Amino acid sequence: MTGVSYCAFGTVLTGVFPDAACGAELTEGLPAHWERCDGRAAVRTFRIQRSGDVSGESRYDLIDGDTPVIEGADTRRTAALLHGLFEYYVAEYATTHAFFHAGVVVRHGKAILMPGPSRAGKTTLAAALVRAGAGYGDDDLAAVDRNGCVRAMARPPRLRPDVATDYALPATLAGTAVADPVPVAAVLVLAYRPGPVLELRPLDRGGAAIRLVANCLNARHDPDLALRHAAAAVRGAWCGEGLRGDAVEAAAQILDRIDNLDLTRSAV
Amino acid sequence: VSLPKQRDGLFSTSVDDELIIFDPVHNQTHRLHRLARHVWDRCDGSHDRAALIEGLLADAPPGLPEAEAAEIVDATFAGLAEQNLLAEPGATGGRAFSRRAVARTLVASLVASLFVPSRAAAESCPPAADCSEYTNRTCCTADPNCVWLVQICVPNSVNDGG
Repeated sequence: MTGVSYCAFGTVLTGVFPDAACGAELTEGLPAHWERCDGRAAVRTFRIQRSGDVSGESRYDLIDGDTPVIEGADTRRTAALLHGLFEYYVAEYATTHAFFHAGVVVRHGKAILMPGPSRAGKTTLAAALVRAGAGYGDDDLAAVDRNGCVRAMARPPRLRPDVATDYALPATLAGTAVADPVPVAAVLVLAYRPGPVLELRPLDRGGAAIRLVANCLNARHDPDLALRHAAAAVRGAWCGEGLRGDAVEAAAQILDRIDNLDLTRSAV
Repeated sequence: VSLPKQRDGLFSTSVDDELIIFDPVHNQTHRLHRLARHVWDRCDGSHDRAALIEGLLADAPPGLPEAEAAEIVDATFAGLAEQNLLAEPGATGGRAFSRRAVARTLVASLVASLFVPSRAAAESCPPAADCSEYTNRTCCTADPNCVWLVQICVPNSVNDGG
């Protein structure tokens, strides 16, 4: 058995593989933020056991701690699940960044954060904003450092099938996302209401900060980090809340509003 | 509690003049309006209602009427007690704080609270081409084509024996 540890955003995860070659094969293609860091204490350990062969191809069992995740999976599926688990837990245990459940787009070198729970329409609005001219950051996660700057996770956008036709973006967008951390220009807390509507009113920074903390995936694990990074994110940002209807119409109006903030200034 | 005291074990940070609090016991985050914060800062177990009103009048912008300050102190106390932010659980203030019903809208504007869901509950569920791509039960069961069996997400047809 071979144990291999990987780190990202302060999270250390360990995979225990039948042998080194298997470990290399199953961890190939992990997102670039993962680095080898053997010897550090892991917050979770995944055991991968060879369970047999089918037509000469190995099959694996994957165990998360003491919990079996899948049995008898082929290499592709095992690797996909392992990568998915790594990405799942990094947001929960990160110690360097607060991970906010938020869509992220970039305008004039600054980030627009749109926090919200699942099915709030983050992906749809982010996609519409990108089609309207914003840069892509991520459709679901914002990693914010202690200075309040956002690092784009740049994962491929994942639209639900029912809206994918209207708002589809190429998965290759992930490669075009802004690589360096950018400060936050605006935090927009928007709820969906059908119709051609954008009602956006100013929200004070305390109101924006509490929304971010309520949507922070590592807040329970590290409350102090969540609070400090949320406060840093809203510092200097324009914050607003309201309702939005059709994403395409809303996106155009949002960018118009953001552009009028004159984001080229050092402070909004 | 005639001498309200902040509960131990809370985390907080300032945002402009306001205070954002995280309560790891109840997994809630709270936002204290700047006037409520003036009250909160003196909730150290040594200030009674009169002292809190006096302190608020000293910290608040000039011209705040005493009756209004008293209302704010009572509403803040009500909000803090309701959200379990004071040392005595379920504290009502007894006779020490005003027995008049505080306006709910005032309480809500002074102490706003939101629940912080667990990682699993907050998880977005990306569309998956294959049920096995779902690694958590929430996402699996949200997909009408899939069903969660023990620790694995499988197609409905498997569960039906088809």
